[in-house]
Amino acid sequence: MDHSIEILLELKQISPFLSEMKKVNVFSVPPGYFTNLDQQILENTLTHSTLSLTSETHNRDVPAGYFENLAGNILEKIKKLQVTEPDELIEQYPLLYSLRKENIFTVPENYFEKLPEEVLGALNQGKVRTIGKTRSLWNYAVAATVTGLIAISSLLVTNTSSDNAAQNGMAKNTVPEYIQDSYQYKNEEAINEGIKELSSDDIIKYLEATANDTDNEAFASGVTEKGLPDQEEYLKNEKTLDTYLNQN
Amino acid sequence: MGAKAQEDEARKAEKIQALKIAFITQKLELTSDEAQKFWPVYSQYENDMKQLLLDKKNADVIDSDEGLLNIRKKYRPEFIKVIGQPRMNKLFNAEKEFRGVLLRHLQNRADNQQRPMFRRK
Repeated sequence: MDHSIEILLELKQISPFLSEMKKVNVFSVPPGYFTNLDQQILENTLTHSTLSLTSETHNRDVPAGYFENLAGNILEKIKKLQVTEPDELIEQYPLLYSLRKENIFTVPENYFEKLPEEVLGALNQGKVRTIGKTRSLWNYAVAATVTGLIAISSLLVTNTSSDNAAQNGMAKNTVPEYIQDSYQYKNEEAINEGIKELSSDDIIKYLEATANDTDNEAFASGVTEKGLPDQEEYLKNEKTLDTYLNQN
Repeated sequence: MGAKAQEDEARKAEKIQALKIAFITQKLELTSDEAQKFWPVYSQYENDMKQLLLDKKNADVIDSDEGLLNIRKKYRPEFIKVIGQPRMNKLFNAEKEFRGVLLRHLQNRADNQQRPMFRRK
């Protein structure tokens, strides 16, 4: 076969070792191999000690109720196991070690009974907020009213003089004008200055009109500017006025 | 013009009244609280006094003196209630003092008027 020769030549170039190998069917089986195969397998398995299913294994039956109690037994064994505290845990994670038996997922007493009420309470607080909003509306309303009042009153004051007079009358009723006037005389000097502004006639008229003391009355009615003592005389002697009063 | 003169007269009287109140307020050292209670009482007392002066013209001198005392007695409890006994005593002295101050001013003016005359001589 030309074909096979060409392949052989190519194979020689690639791998001389393979090309020199004889063409033999490597998958050949001894004659009668498959006829005795099942027998041979059975013999081999029976004679193999580890894999043999001897009567011993059959005899070693599972105890009665073994599987029913298995889960319980396992749990019991786990519980019985003395869990020795690993030194590593104590040394390296003291906090975790102290927490190891604590239930950190506890909830305050009656927490879940109270929960609905608390939630409702929180909702009510939300309502209070809405009241606050209305309050701010109130502020605007009050501000608007005050502005309006100021505007109206200013109009009234400027437009109608009768209202103005009425206001003055009210002020007179609360504090008499002469008392308000008295506030400007803060000390004795101010009072003296105020008296200096008065005319002599006015003073004499006042003294006469209000003379309620016999001494003063005699003096006020009898006073004449020229008849009064000299100022120097008055300064020399404080009793000058008294002597003058007595003389009259 | 007559009405205006009257108004003028009232204004002057009011000014003297204001001076008197300032004077008494300072003499008695009234606080603003005390003043608020005191002046309405004093105002009533003054009205009674004015009435007494009007009636005085034809009255007996001793009777009118008695009337003055009676008015003061009438207002005594109220004055004591508002400003206390010691200051009530001071009150009537202050009234007199104020008249004295007015008189002193009159006197000074008379002196000032006289002096240039003396210098001319």
